[in-house]
Amino acid sequence: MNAPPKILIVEDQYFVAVDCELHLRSAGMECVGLATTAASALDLAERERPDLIIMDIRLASRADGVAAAIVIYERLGIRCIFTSAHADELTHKEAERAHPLAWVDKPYSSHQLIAAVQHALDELDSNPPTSCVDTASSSHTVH
Amino acid sequence: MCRELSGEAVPADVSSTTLLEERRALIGELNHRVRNMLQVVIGLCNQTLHRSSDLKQFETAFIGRVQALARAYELLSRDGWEKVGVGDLLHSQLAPYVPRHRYSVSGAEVNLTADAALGFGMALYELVTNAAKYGALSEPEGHINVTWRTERQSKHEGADSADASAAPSCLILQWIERGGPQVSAPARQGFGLELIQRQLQYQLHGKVTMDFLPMGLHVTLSVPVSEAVPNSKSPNQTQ
Repeated sequence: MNAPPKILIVEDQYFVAVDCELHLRSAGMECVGLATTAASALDLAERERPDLIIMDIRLASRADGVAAAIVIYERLGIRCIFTSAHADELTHKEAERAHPLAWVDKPYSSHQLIAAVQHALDELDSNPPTSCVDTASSSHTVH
Repeated sequence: MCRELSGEAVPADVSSTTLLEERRALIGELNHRVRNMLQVVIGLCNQTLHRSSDLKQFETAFIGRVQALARAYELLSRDGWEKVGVGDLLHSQLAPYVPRHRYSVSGAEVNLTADAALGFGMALYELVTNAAKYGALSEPEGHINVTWRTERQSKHEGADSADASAAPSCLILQWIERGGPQVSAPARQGFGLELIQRQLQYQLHGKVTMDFLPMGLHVTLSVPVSEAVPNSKSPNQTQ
C-alpha cells in the first residue's frame, strides 16, 4: 500500500488551519505540520520534506507566504498550492518563482481544496520534482 | 490608512489620481479582509458542527461565536482597524450576556492588535458561555472579576522579573469566578475551553492556564507584548 501523501499547511488563522487539516485527513492524506510564519514553514519543510505545501500568501498581515514558498522551492524543490483572499497581479507574478501548482481563492470549500490538492499530487506524480535545487539562488530571506 | 477614512481634510491640490489609487488600495484591502474572514467563518462553522450533538446546539454555538467576532470587528472599525482597548473589549463581550453588577474589570489601559482583539474576543465569549453553563453565572449570586496587567519577563528564567532590560513583555489577563457551584476539574475538557487554549497558542503564541479551584474557575491568558499596542494616553501603564 502506498504511503499517504504528506502535506504541510502554512496558515496563520487557527480555524482555517485546523479545518484544512481535518479535510486533508478525511481525504486520506497526512498533515505533517501546521505553520503560522514563514520561518516555521521553512523549518517544517526542511524537517518533514512534505510532498506538497498549502501556503497562505499573507501570514500575520504580511505577504511573506510568497517569499517562504520561493525559498522552499529553491532550496528544497517542494512546490505549493497558494491560498489567497486577494492577490494583485504583482503578487501573482512574483509568486511564479515558487512554481505553484495551483491558486485557490478564499473562501473555498473542502471539495475545492481537496480537488486542487489531488490535482496537484497527480501533476507531481506525472512530473516528479527534480533535485536541481540551488541554495545560493534564493534571494529571499525568511523571517 | 486612507485619508478619507481617517477624517483628515484633503488639500484641494491633491490630484484625483492619488485619491483614486488610495481608494483602489483601500477596496483591495477590504476585499482581502472580508474574504479572509469568510474563510475563518467557514472553518468556525465546520469545527462547531463537528463538535455539536444536534443542530440546535450547533446553531446556538455557531451564532454566538460569529457574534463574538462581530463585536470585536465593531470595536476595530472604530479605530482604523489598528487597536482595541482591553477594557472596551471586555465590556463589549460581557455586557450582552452578563448584568453589569455581576462582573468587574480593572487594569491599566492597554490596546490589543487586531489579531489579538479577535482572538481575545472569541476567548472571552467562550469563558462567558462556560460560566453561564457550569460556573459563576449559573448561580444567582455568582460574580466574575477580570484583571489585566502588562509584565516584563526576563530573558533568563528565574531572574528578577522587574529587570528593566528584560524582554519581551506579556499582557496577562486573569478571569476569576466566584459564587458559583463548587468546581472540580472536568473529566474531559469542553470544546469551548479547548478552543481558547488552542487558538491563543496557535494564533497569538499565547499561553492559557485553567485552575479549576473549588471556589471557582480561575483562567490566566497571557500573550506576548507584540500583540499589545502601547496606549498613547498613558505610556507608563505597566502595573
